[in-house]
Amino acid sequence: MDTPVNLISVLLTSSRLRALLPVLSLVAVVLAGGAGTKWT
Amino acid sequence: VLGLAAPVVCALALGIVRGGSFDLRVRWFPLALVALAVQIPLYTAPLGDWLPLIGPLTTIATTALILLVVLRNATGRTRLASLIAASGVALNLLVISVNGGFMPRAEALAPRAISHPDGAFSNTAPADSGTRLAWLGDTLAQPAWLPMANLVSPGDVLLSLGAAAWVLAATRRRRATG
Repeated sequence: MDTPVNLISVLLTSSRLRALLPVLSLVAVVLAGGAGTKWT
Repeated sequence: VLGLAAPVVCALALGIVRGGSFDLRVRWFPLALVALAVQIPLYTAPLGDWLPLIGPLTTIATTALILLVVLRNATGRTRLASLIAASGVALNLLVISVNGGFMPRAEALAPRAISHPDGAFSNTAPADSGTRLAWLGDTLAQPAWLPMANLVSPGDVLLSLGAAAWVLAATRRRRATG
């Protein structure tokens, strides 16, 4: 397996990333549901 | 943008300071990430001549996707917070839809001049006499001292506060031991 693929695999299974996902998802909800009209 | 995400970050910090543990779950979260992943290039990159057609439709579709995600999470302890956030998204979706896929913007109230990247799709349009439900558009000016200060809509405010309440509702206080 290529090294970048390995790295992505490690990142996706990392418990820290998993813990961050809900927060990132909520921020995505705020940005895409409202602030998406204000990128600039 | 920063002003709208700030309440979520503050709620998160407050939860940590209070020593709480988070039981934050966002059901169907991949849909929210997809919506954001579509919007970022759409609003920042020069994507070609077909943007005037696909841009407004994509704006409506991705906002509807977010509404779906938020409504899916209106259960349990986070129900009220989710419903507040959902009402904000619904108001934004309503005003965007009745104005052809564009968020009307009260340009005269803007705290600073806004420039769009060359060739990129702008999903806001200056409000005029033909604008429908203009009061639901970007009519509230953020303080000029705020980084990236901008105009926001009543729906944005509800969404932002609802999301912050969502984080707080998902925070459990640690029980004292001994």
